[in-house]
Parts: sequence; structure tokens; C-alpha cells
Amino acid sequence: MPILNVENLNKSFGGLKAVSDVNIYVKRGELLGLIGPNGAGKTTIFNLLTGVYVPTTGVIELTGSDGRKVKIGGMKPYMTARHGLSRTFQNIRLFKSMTVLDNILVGMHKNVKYTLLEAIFRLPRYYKQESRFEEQAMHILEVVGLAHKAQELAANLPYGEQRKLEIARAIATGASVIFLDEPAAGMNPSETDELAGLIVSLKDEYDLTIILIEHDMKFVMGLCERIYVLDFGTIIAEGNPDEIKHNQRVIQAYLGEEA
Amino acid sequence: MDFSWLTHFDSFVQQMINGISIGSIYALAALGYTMVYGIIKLINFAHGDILMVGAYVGYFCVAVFKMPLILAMVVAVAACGVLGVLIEKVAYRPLRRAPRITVLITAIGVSFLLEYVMVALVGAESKAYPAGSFGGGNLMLGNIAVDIQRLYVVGITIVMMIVLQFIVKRTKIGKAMRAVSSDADAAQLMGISVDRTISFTFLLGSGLAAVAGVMMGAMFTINPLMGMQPGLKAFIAAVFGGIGSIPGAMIGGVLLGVIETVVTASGASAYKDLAAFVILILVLLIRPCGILGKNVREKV
Amino acid sequence: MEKLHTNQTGGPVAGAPENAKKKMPPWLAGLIGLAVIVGVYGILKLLIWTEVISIYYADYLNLILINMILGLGLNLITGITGQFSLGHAGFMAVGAYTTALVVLNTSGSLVSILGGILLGAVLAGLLGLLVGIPTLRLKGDYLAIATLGLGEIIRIFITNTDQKVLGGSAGLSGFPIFTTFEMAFFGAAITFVVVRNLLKSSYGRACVAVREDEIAAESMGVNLAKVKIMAFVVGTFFAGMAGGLFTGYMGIIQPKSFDFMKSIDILMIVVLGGLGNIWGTLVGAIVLGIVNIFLQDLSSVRMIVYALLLVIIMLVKSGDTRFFVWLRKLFNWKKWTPAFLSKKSGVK
Repeated sequence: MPILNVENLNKSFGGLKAVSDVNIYVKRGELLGLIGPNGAGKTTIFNLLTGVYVPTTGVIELTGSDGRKVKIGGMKPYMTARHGLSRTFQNIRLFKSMTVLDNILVGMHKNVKYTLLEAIFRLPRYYKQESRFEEQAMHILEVVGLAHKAQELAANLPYGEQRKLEIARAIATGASVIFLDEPAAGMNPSETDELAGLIVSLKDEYDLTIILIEHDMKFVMGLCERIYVLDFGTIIAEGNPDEIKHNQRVIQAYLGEEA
Repeated sequence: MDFSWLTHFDSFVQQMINGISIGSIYALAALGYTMVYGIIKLINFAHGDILMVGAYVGYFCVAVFKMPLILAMVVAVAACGVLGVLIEKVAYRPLRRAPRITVLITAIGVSFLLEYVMVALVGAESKAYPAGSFGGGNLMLGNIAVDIQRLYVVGITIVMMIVLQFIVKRTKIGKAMRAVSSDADAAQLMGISVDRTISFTFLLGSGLAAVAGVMMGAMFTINPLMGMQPGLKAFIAAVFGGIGSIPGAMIGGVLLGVIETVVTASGASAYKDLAAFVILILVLLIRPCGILGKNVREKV
Repeated sequence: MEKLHTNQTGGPVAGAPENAKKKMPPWLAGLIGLAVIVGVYGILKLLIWTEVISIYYADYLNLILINMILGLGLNLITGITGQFSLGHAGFMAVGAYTTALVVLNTSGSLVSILGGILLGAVLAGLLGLLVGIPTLRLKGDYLAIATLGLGEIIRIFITNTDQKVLGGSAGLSGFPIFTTFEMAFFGAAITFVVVRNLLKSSYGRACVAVREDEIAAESMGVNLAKVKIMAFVVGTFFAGMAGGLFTGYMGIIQPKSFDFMKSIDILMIVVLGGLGNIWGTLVGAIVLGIVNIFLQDLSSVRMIVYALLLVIIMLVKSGDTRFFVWLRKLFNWKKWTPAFLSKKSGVK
């Protein structure tokens, strides 16, 4: 049973159709790739799924771990986050003047149980949860290898580590589905390899479903179990990496372009 | 509330002309806000104070150097144009990549600086242009007496608008302004000098504010804090018409002037200023892009 | 490690004691905090009692403390949460008039005074809630202008309401000067502790996240509207409280005390102390208080100094032309600056 099911998704800006009649399903625990040439509408689909944009038409259905279905199309981002969706951004959006640890803790904010008054009066629940949050956050940082930089400002991290921190922050929300928007952009081959390993281990440890956009074909083909190819706002192919590699339409639309 | 002015045709016409003339001044000042906002996304808080400086330059030209008002206006335009360009160079340009809040605070600082330097230079008390410097008397339209000054204001404003439209739509620098306003980075890559275009925008906006300032000064009195209220009103007019839109600023300015006059004529003059702010808040809440503005979205 | 240190000296005043406290059990940290507050109170009281701080300056100290409350409230809204408000004086007016009316219409006992101040704060906070729900949807500059408009609306409304109720432009008087040093001091202390505790909780982190990047914050599950309104309500609550204390400090209140200039005064404190830095706000209020003492009789010079400070602080802090970058380097800004000029947010 798919964890995420998208039917006839459409989005137009003014007269421009950015996404048309997209049908996608994502299986629980899957590592799914979304590829396509520049401007194909990949990020727009991410924005639609996470609530940044409201779909023009179409249904986005999320199945919770309890089997209950929720229609999340048109929900605000914080609501989709509350239903277990989280993401990273193409152009890294960290909270730059906050520490690495605080970035992670913001991800956990939606799970906060103590009230504002309990925080102001420093009641026991505040301390209890703060220390638990901090433990969990430090654990995530250890997994991604940033624990030793917990007190540094996010802005001072090198590029690759900022990418990792963004992934860690997404996981900290407790999400079950994570969207990664070009996680390997701007990384060198050895960093990319390391990132691929990290994504797999995070997926296992936190029991995640991951959907990623990436231009690095080697990265996508090596990592993803299944791939959708997008061109001019429509899905032109779907299948495992081997099928995609040999799909004539994909080669024409996408790979052919580079040759 | 007293709406009797509505039932008398002559007082209705007079009030409308009053409203349109005040509105013209707002519109002239609003153009500066709208152009600057369109191009660097900054509410130039100091804009109203440039208007004030214009009024003072005009005053000294007329009262001390005995110039005719029209010449005084030219001098004021030149002086304010230079001042506007200078302010942008010194205070705003270094902050072009800074958070908006930083630039806004700077603009507030510049505004106060202009006001209180003027207080230090000429004193806080009000001054009036020499009597008759802006014409006077009434023009009879049938049996309706219309203040000639007000007609001058409307006339001069219309001329300014035509000139501005010409510059923006028909000249090379106008084209550059529109290009920078729609995408500064792309314009830069196309070989347009963004810095020069922004300077020119400040020059133009400040010049228009100077015209408004001289006319305001000649009609009423001047003091170093006189720019604050019309500055705010003009900003409201710009938002009302749709910030970033030049025709919007004109429409917004005139509408605001008329609405204020209607409120005043109806006997609620104490609430005249309230009307402007209420309009502002309603517009921001109901249609933040204003009458003619376009919605913009942030790229994710 | 060395690099890490220089990066963190952004808020030396804020940073040092926080890190030390972390290793302490919470009850001990709380106790030490309380001891510090009582200690500062004791020292100031002793200085006033021995007239090291003369009566004139002791009176002035109350005003500085009230300004601290205003600054802390505005810093929460503007510095920490990033919502530029230019109408803080309007909310202060609500508290001031409420307190004045309560005191005028009751016995004027300590209980009614404190009750009046509390009621004023609550009403200001409520108004903040009412006003915040629609306006906080606006971004940046629009919000600034809308709040400016609201502040002006409040003032014009007070000026033009029936004179028998709110006194019109002449204002309200006829109540004693009731604000004592204790009220002002503990008012400021409470405000500081509340804002600090808020800041160091998940709610405070959410506020900073909203300031840093709304889209990212929202995608992490932060309800933008809720966080902004929370900050606004807490900030306006304290503006109301400060208004009440201001009433008792002045002995007379007039609408013109709460105009746009007053909002700028408060903004000035926050900017001088560093946007987002709550220790800085305290320093800012003191520094500005001292500047005001010196420039009291030269109000136009005072305003020129204010204006120049606003522009220069902004330019030196973030100007990106060669001159300002050079200037920043010349003074090695981050290393020696006191917290009140640093760029850091004040969160840890």
C-alpha cells in the first residue's frame, strides 16, 4: 500500500502550466527518485506535496502508520509537517544565525508538549522535555557527523555540512516522508558517495520514506529503487534505474539533450 | 456628520477641487515612493522629508532671492534631486544586500536626520512664503468661485505626470528603470548599470517631491516637520494605488485626497488623519497589492 | 576550537553565564538568577539611600527601567521574531490610560495601582492579539507601516474621544506619582526573566526561526501565525505594563506622549542594544538614558544624535561597501564589541 498517492495533480501559474496531470505513488520505506531537465517542474511538485503551493486541481493522499488516509493537498506547510512530511531546499534554507543544535531543535518544535507558561515559569515539564529534546537532537547530529559542531552557528558550516544539517533538521521533525531537493548539488564525487551512504543509513535508522530530486545521474541511479522522470510538467517515464536508463523517451527528452 | 455640502453644487465642486489638489500633492510624492519601492523594495522613509527640504529651498529662493515661483521650483527640483541621489549613495547603497529591516531602520534614521538638521539650521517655527508668490484670488466658473492656486497645483501635477510617463515609457533610461525593477540581476547581465539606474530613480522621485513641497509650502506654511504627514499619506496613497505602479500612485494619491476632503467637509476633520490610516490597514488586509498592483510570490 | 570561540563571542555578555549555567541543576541556576536580581536591587537601593545616586538621578533611573521593559517587549517582536513594529507606543498608551483611569476611579491604594497596571497590560495584550491576527500576515515593510498606522489610530482616537473620559489632548492628571523604584525595578526584572525564559525555550527558538526564514520554519512544522501572534501579544502586554508604570512616573499623561516619536525612541533602544539581544536591550536603555541626560536641553541635537546613531549602527553592522567592511575589520568588530553592538541573535 502506498504511503503517498498523488492523482491528477495540476498546477498553473497564471496561464502557465507548471505541472499537469501528474500521477505518482510512493511505497512505504521506498527511496524514490524524481528527475528531469531544468524547469521540468520537479521542485514545484515538492512544493505542492509539502504545502508551499496549493494545487490547482488534483488529490494528494497520505496514509498514516495507522492506516488512516488524509488528503493533504492545499494544506499549509506546517500542517503537512504535522502529518509527517518534511523536506530540504534546493537553495539551503537553514536558520543561519542559530547554532547547529538549535536548528535541529526547531525541527522538533512541533512536538513540544510544554506550554508557553510552563516555559516561562520553568516548570518540571519544561526541563524534562528540553533535556530529552537535546538528547535526541545530539543523537541525530552524531548520526550525520555534526555532533562536534553542535554549538557552531549554522552559517559558519562548510557547504557540504550545511546540506547534511538540513537533512538532519528534516529528520528531527519526526517525519516519516522526507523530500530532498538536490541534496548532492555542489558536492564533489567523494562527498556525494558519502552522502549516499548517509541517506541509506538514515533511512534505515529512522524508518523513512525518501523522495529526492537530483541531477547527478550516478547518484540517483545508484541510490534510488524507483524513478519518475518529469518533462514539461508531465511524467514521461517510471521504473527502476535500469528501465529508466534504457527508456527511449527519457534518453530523447533528457539525456539526449546533453549529447 | 454634516453632508449638506453634497446638496449644493457649488460647494460640491469646490470640495472636489480641494480634494483633487491635495490629492495631486500626495500623488506627486507617492510617485517617489512607488518608483523607489519598485526598484529596490525599500520604503524610503526620508521621502517626505525631501519634500520638506524642497519646500525650504523654494522658500529661500522666493523670499530671499526674490525669484519667481516657477524658477524656485526648478532650483528646488535640482537641489532635492542631488540630495536624493546622495542619500541613496551614502546610506542605502551599502545596504543593498542587507536584511530589509536594516535598510528600513536606516531610512528612518535618515528621515530624522533631515528633519532635525533642518530644525538646527532654520529653527522649528513655521514660516510662510511671501504673500502672492503663488498667484491668488478666485476664478469664476459660472457662479462657482474656484481658488486659482488649487488649479495651478492640479495643472502642474498633470504636466509632471506627462513628463514622467514620457521618461519612463519612451526613453532609454526609463526602459532601464523598468528592467531593473523587474529583475535587477538580469538587467545587470544585459549591460544596464543598476547603480546608475537606481540613482536616476532617486533623482526623479526626489525632484517630484520637491515640486510637491514647493506647492505645499506656497499654499500653506512650512516647518521642518512638515514632511512627516504628507510623507505618510503619500506612502498610503502609493500602497492604495498598488505599490510599484506609477498610474497606481496617481490614482491612489487623488483618491486619498478626495476621501480626506470628504471626511473634513462632513464635519469630522479631527478624524481626517484617521481616515488615511484606516484606508491603509483595510487595503493591506483586503488587497495588499492595491488597486493596480500585482501579486508577487517568493521563490522556494 | 579557536575559531569556534571567536564565532561565539558575538554575545559575550549573554553567552558566558548561559554556558556555565548549563551544567548546573536547574534549581541552583534559578536560585543564582534570583540572587543576582535581588543583589542588583540591593546595591541600587543602597546607592539611592546613601544618595550616591541623587534623588534626581534616582527618579531618572525609574524611567530607564520603564524603557527597558518597553525595549524588551519590542525586541521580542522585532529583534527576535523579526516582525517590524512601529506602533509600540500605541500599546503603551492603552496601558497608561487604563492604569490612570483605574487609579482615578478607585482609592488609589497599592492594590488598585498594581491591579490597574496589570489590567492595562492585559488590555494592551488583548489589543495586540486583536490587531496581530490580521496584520501579522503582512510582510516586513508593510507590517511596519500598518503598525505605525495602528499606533497613530490609537493616539488619534484617544485625542478625539469624549474629553470627560480620556481627557482629549490635554490628557489625564490628578493622580499621584505612584511609581516607586521597587515597581519599576521588579517590573523590569520580571520582564527580563519572562523574555529570557521564553527565548530559551522551544517557543523562543521558533521565534528566531521565523525571523531567519519563514518558509523553512513553516516547513518544519512551525505555525507562523501562532508564533508571531504569541510574540506580539507578549510584547504588547509588557508595553501596556510599561505604560502603566509610565503613568505613575509622570503623574500626567497626554496622547502626544505616545506618538510615533515614542515608538522610535523604543526602537532606538533595541537597535542600539542589538536586534535580538536581550542583554543588549538593557545596555541600550542605560546608554540612551545617559545620552538623554546630557542632551536633555538640546532636543534637536538629541534627535540628530539619535538619527546619526541609527544610520551609523546599521551601516557599520551590515554595510557591504569596501569602506564599511574595512571599518568593521579595523575595529575587529566581533572580537571586542560589547553585546550591544554585536550582530548575533542572543540565543545562546
